[in-house]
Amino acid sequence: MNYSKIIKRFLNFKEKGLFLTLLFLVIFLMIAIPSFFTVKNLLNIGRQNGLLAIMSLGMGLIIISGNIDISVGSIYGLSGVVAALVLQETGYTLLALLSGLSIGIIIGAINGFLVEKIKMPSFIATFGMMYVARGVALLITKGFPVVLLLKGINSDTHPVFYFLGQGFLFNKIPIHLIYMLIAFLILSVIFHKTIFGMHIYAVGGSEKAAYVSGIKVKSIRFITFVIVGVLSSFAGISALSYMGSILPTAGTGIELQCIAAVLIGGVSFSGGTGSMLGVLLGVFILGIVKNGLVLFGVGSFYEVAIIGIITIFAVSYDSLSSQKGKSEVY
Amino acid sequence: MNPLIKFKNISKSYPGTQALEDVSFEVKEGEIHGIVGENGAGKSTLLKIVGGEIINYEGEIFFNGKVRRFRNPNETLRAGINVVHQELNLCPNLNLVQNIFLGRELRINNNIGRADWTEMRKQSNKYLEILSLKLSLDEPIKNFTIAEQQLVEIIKSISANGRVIVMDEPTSSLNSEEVERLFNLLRKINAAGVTIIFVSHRLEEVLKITDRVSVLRNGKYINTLDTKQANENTIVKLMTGNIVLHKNKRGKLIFKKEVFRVEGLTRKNTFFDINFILHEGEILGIAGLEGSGRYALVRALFGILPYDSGKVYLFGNEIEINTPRKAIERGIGFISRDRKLEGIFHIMDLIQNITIVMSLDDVIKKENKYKDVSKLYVNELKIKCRSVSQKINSLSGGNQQKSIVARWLAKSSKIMIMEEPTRGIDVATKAEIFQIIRRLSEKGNSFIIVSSELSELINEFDKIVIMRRGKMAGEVETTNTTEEEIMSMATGISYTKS
Repeated sequence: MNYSKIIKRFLNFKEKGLFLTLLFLVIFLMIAIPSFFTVKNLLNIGRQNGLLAIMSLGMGLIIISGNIDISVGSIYGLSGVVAALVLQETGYTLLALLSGLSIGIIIGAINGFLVEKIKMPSFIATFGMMYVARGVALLITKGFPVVLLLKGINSDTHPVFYFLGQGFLFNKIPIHLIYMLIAFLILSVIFHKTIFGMHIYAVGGSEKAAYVSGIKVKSIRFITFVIVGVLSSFAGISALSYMGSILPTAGTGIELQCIAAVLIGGVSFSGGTGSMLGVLLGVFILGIVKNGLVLFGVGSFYEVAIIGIITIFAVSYDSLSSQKGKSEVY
Repeated sequence: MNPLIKFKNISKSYPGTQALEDVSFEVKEGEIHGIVGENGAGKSTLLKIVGGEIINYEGEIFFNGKVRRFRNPNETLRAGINVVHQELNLCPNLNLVQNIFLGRELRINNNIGRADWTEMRKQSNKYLEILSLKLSLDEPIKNFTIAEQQLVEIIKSISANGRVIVMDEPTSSLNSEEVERLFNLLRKINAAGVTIIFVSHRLEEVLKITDRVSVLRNGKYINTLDTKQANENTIVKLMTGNIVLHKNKRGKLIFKKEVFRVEGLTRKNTFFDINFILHEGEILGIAGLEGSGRYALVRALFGILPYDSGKVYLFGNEIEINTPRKAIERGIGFISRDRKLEGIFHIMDLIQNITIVMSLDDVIKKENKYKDVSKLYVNELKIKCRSVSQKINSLSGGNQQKSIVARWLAKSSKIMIMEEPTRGIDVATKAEIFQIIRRLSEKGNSFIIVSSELSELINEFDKIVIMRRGKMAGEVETTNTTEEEIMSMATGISYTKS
């Protein structure tokens, strides 16, 4: 075994800071809380963060491309609500799934249209859509939660639908964790192996150079909005399936958690840099901290403040280290 | 006379380039001191150090006998040094008086609150009179021409009553009459005791206005001469170190095959009725002053800016170009004058930068192929780098530019449109880039190149289209024209070398 080679590779590994942070957290919690490092708890962390991870990977995609999408939480909520209502009215699982996913496609396409055709700043366009989608969810439910179980839609009548949110692989691995792995693998391949992925970096890093080089800047960004929409929809439907009911306000604030995870994962807010692995590590750093707080018995109010503190810490570390070597002041 | 500013062993390096190396010289109190050098000689870096924009350099600057290290532009200003930058730093929405006194408005009785506009208008008028300018004091400055704005910028610095005025290419958009009036003003304030540092690449102006002139070349200090004992030849020799781009013009070549033709191309308020033909293997230059529409024209040809009317033919067939993508598909390449923003992908490595256009239609990355292609062009164009996986940011400007040339070669673009291809590049690399262009033209590539450097245009190109205020002022063969002829076509006034 050539150890020096392995060490060298690790030192060139871009996400090593995040990886070490995660490792440190795990070791610290292992020592501090015996119940932390159990298969049950670790799988639990995976399940709790699987859906957030799917959406964060999408958010990472969009931030790397130089935009932002803060309507993801509303897409999550509206998709869940629409899928629930369709299932309630028709009883068809496939129809419910497709109608839920179409919400993500439609809102993603509207976001893309507003940003790339009307040339609105992405923050403002998706800010508007965040309210529109949430409003629609409240209107079609009249503000009441949709409870599938009350209408007799349960895991006996609709086993496939409930498997989507409550299933386990090999009776052990929660399906949310599987979704996360699949989304991670697909997006990683797109980013690192396809020209489309390379163009997302190019557009996020140097928009004008990309345009002059013949890259279809608008189409690429349009597609990223649709991808994020679909991922958020899927997360919303899975959440519905997991709980058997959904509130019209479901997913409120989840967009900010996604942004936090993406920033902690080392994606530059101005676009052009970052990786899917980084985002995934960011999600788990956040998830493990939250889990640790619960195990310590600290109230959930701390959680909110701590997300902020970790984000600020992570980004200031990034900002400081990226200034190294170019200390010119303009 | 005492040295007022003394540079001692100033060095500054960027990744891949040594911008300044051990530069030492003095500027005496009360003189007009010229600094000359080719593009990339280090003039602007030196000015940025004086101006407090670059703070981590080696060496020392003595000002008035004391070591000073200006940490920001404000400190320079408070020390009594006013830097007039080449690019304009005016607020376009404010009027002339507001701009001139921005940040140091005069107050009535030194009161805190009330601005003394009467006094400020009086002082503004005084300077306008010396420059015999008739400008409105109330109109927003954005309505002025570039030349007028440049003069306002200069007035702004002069009126600050500093001890030193540093001017970076102050005459770049002025015509000879305006230059003459500016020189009158400079002589007046110089007589009142203000030291002036004058940076320009227009040698005749430097010879006319300065007392002494210092020469930089490739980041190194070469010599300081008494202007009286210098002439253009001696200075050029010091500036270039006898590297002449090409000693001979290309000579008259006969081109037969038409590749590209433009007929009556017009874009509202930008350029009008442009006609020219580009042949296979031809190098066509486009000359013109600021505001002549020369950049807009070539951008329209590449599909970045739309044009309103006119026709473009490729190999005799009429084509429509409305996006860069379409231009690229038809074999046209484009190199922007703004390398940082529209040229390089600063976050990416050399391979990605070179192959980004050739891989446009691929779906899956072909890493090995891209690497091989990059290596091929790195060797062919002698791009200096440690490896092709190096970030392009860490290369020097000249090598970045060569990589962008490689990008279009990798796509086998037959027609290349370039804006200022040698801007910010050192003399040696500049010569290399023209060698590359000439070699490619011999292989049948054609070039449309916008350049602001007359010597470049005349020595390196075959024919020159000259633009003035959006119209074609003429087309000349380089074998029978002079710098003066081009200048007079571009400005519309007869221009004689003094």
